[in-house]
Amino acid sequence: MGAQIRVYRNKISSTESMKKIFKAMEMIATSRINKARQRIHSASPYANALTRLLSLVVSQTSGDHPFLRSADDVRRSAVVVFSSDRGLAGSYSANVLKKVEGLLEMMHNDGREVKVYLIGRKAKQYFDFRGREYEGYWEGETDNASSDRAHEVADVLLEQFTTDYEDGGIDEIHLVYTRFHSMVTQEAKVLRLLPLEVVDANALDDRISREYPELETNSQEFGFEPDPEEFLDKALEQYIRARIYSCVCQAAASELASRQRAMKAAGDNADDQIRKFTRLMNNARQAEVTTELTEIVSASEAL
Amino acid sequence: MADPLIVEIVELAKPLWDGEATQVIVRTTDGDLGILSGHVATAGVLVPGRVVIDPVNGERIEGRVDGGFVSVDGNRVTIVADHYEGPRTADD
Repeated sequence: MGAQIRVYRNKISSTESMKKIFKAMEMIATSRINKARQRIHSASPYANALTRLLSLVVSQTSGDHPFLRSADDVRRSAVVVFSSDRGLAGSYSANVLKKVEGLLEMMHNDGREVKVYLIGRKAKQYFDFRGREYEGYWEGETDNASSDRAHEVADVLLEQFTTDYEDGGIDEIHLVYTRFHSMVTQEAKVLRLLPLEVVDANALDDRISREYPELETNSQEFGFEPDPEEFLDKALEQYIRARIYSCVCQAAASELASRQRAMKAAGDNADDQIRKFTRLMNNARQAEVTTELTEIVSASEAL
Repeated sequence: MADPLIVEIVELAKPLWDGEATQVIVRTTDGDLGILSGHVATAGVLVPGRVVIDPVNGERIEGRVDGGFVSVDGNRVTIVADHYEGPRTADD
């Protein structure tokens, strides 16, 4: 058998086995994505309730709280990167890392110190390869959102945020994650978690009544137990946990959606490749047959 | 009878219980707080303790929370729980 045919046959069989992997990964992503979307959905009542509570408190207190007060000049920021553990998810991690690059550059230009926290092996590889430093790192289960992970991240960040700058604390927290709009649209985004951007109570109220009209509050005086300050302390901490959890959920759903799309495209490409190689192989076989025939004919003529 | 309270218990990852009730008792940092229809608007921090709900229909419900918040606004009672154990209306 001709060497060329063998080469094509090998190519076809390896493409076929890759195609099986793509198909399997696509199917896994598809089956898990619904669960991930369900998570986003079921986390929202909690976030809504907290947002509403916070707006009430903020509108009735002076709002002079470390979590709300924006430091005039931010000296040290924390950036949390939500990437994936595994590749084969198209440009999912690359998009997030691109956003991170932009943010880091902006911060360096402002002369701020930055502490980077990474979630997912892909982000770690990226930073390790470039010899960059990072403060914290979590891996595993990036496509399977869990509230435990969110709590771990939140604990670290809250501790850092409540530490003074002189003792190595941070003034500001940014999250870089991929927002899940729909199965076909996901967008890498930078979110400033702390200090909260909703300092203006009226703006917050407006936003809430616009986004959740059913939560319209009657603006009567609220009684607090124990007092507004302590309430704010607790509520803000929970709010931050909820925000981080929501980012974890969004990132997981986005990762699965990207992976599903990338694997679908890869599977389709594999089909194209197999078709192309099959044609080339047939061509080569035909050419071989023709050559042999010509040889036999010319040999018999020579006799 | 006064309008029933609209009660909702939510946890970080999911809503857990909702329904109408005549009375809700929770434990805040200042002690037990009983909420009846027409309660003044209140927001409170919960300490670990029991949550008691008397639904409009059916038996009294008792659960536990490890902390969280309660807000009363009009007749809407929202309990934002850190961790809730007890009867649920929402599926897992």
